[in-house]
Amino acid sequence: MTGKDLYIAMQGIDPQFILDAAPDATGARPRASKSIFLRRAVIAVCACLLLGILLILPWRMRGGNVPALPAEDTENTPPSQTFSDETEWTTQQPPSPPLYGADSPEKLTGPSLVFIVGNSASTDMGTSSAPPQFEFNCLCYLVRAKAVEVLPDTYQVLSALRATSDVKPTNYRLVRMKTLESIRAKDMPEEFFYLMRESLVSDLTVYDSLIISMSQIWTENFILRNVDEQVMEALPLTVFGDPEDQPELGNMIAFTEGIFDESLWQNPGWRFGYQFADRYIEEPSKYYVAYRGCTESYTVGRIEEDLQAWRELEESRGETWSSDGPRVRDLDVKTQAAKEVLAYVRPFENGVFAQWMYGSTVYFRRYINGCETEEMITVNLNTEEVTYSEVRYEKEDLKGIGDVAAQIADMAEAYTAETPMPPHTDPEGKDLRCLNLFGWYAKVNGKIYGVIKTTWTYLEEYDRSGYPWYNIHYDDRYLLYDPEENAWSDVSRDDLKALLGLRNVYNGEYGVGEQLPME
Amino acid sequence: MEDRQIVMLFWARSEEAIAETQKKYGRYCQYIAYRILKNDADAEEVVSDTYLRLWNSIPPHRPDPLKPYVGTVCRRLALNEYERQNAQKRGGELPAVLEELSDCVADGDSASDMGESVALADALNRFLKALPSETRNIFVRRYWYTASVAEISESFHMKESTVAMLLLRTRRKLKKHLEKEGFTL
Repeated sequence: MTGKDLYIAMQGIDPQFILDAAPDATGARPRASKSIFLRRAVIAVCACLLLGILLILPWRMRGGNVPALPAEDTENTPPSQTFSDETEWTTQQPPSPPLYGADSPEKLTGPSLVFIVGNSASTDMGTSSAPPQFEFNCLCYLVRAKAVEVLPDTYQVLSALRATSDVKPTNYRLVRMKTLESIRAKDMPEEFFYLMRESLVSDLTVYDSLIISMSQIWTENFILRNVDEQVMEALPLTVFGDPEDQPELGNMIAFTEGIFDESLWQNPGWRFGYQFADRYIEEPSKYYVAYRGCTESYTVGRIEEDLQAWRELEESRGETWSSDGPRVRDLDVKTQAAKEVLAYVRPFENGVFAQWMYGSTVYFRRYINGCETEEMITVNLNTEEVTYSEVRYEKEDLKGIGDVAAQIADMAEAYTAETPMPPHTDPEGKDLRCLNLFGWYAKVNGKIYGVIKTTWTYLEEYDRSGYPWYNIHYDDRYLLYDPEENAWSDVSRDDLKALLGLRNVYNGEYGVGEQLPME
Repeated sequence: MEDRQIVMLFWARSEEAIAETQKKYGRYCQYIAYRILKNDADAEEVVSDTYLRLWNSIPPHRPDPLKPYVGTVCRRLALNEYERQNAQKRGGELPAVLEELSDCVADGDSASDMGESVALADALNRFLKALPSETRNIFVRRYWYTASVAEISESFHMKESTVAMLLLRTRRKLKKHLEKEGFTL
């Protein structure tokens, strides 16, 4: 142990000690005495600094030279500026004729569409030592519900298989829930699915009721990849999930016979885990909405107080506050154009379209045999405006199409036998965290190309003042299926960009690495 | 504005959160960063980065109380900046602080794992809790805020020699405490 260890360990001391020892504001500057003129100058500089921050920071956050703000679509993606998606959009283009019959749900031909080695999921550099907080995020849907069934199969989200996902596709389970009461959610369906990471799920049916703060993930009839059955599967209910995809204790509270049941939280994977909660649930004053042995009605009462605080805050900012809460989105559209879209993307009738929501817009992207294409359609559920991507796939296109999934399967087998070397990175002293295969289709001049990208992600750890810091090194290689040659061959990223555009192609600099924050 | 409201603003992704944090804790952060970096411009840069780090970490975090969370983020960033600037040449208050803390331990390997670090923090908390409040505040001001002995003596209306002696005795107590807690020193 060193003095530095002690100094670093001081980071973990009780926040109250830090507060108690904090210097007062007047002690915040160097102690040299200042003339009145200087004092005024300092005040002016501070005012300018404040103004500058107020003016510049929002601009910088919107795209200046600072890390991008977290997007609402929180799938695991590396910095978006290194990849491009050149999808072109047109409006009001009528749907193409169906590609498939209604009775031909897609099968996956490869034994595994995604091949990854390495513990890529652990790029989270550690758990937070912050104590748990139990306020609800009231901007979410807030309900009382009863878990009816935890579906036995494992699912993956189609769009999580994108090239920009350098981490393992997360395995999910679905919990069928029955709505008991909408605390703050409008048009809540009687039943819904709750999407949970498989590593966090437990038998939620043992609890009499759950109070959940959640986000809407998909509308009804979304399609997921059933990992166990190796098929695409359409599921009929609206899907909700944790706003951050990793439930923290306060976002789901269980009750048995009307009493707070803390056993739900005794899962070490939950954020702000039970090791912290245990210290805080002893007495009501330390805990926001529940405490050991409290009743469900007590918790509901505290939540209503929290809602009131939100209301006051929103109104003080001149915002309108709806007591009903956010409205649950559905696909009950009125216009002919929107109805045509929904008929076109109905599961399996015209192929497979993955769905995701961003604000009031629902996006549908075509997948062929589990691999994405650039064909996308959107519906704005408020205005019912629809858009179609310029590229569309027709039935004729599928003749002679390369089998990307099967090729991925072959490559995965070879990679299992021997780990391939990255073309631009020296792996010495670096930990291979993720070797990933990903494939997609692209249509250019009426021809359907297949592309497979192999990506390597290395983590390089080094010591910085006793803190572990990390460099992440990214490398990739591309394989192209040319329908005229009916063959696969290596292709440089420059040639690929010239042929197919920037979609899914890494634009960053090889061999440099990118610093990760220390936690 | 109350801390809770500021946190709510962060959660609502309102840029007012930055402005309110700046108003309330800007000078506090400046103090922390300046004590480590000893340079106004660098400290201001770190303080600006602190706001961005807060924006990116709230959510998912919902710190309560907010002040030490802000301070911790700022301290870490300042340390990183210090390390970047002083990879070759050491200066400022930090080397002296590290040297003093080395009194509490024998030279040895760095703590090997997160479990030991957490245990060490817990042991420190128990030690600090047992101290008289003034002694604890002085200790934290020195070894958390990296304040100079001269500054502490002014804040607490003590002679510098008194502060230095108090810190020395406290470090010796800490050494005994850590030995008793089973840490290999």
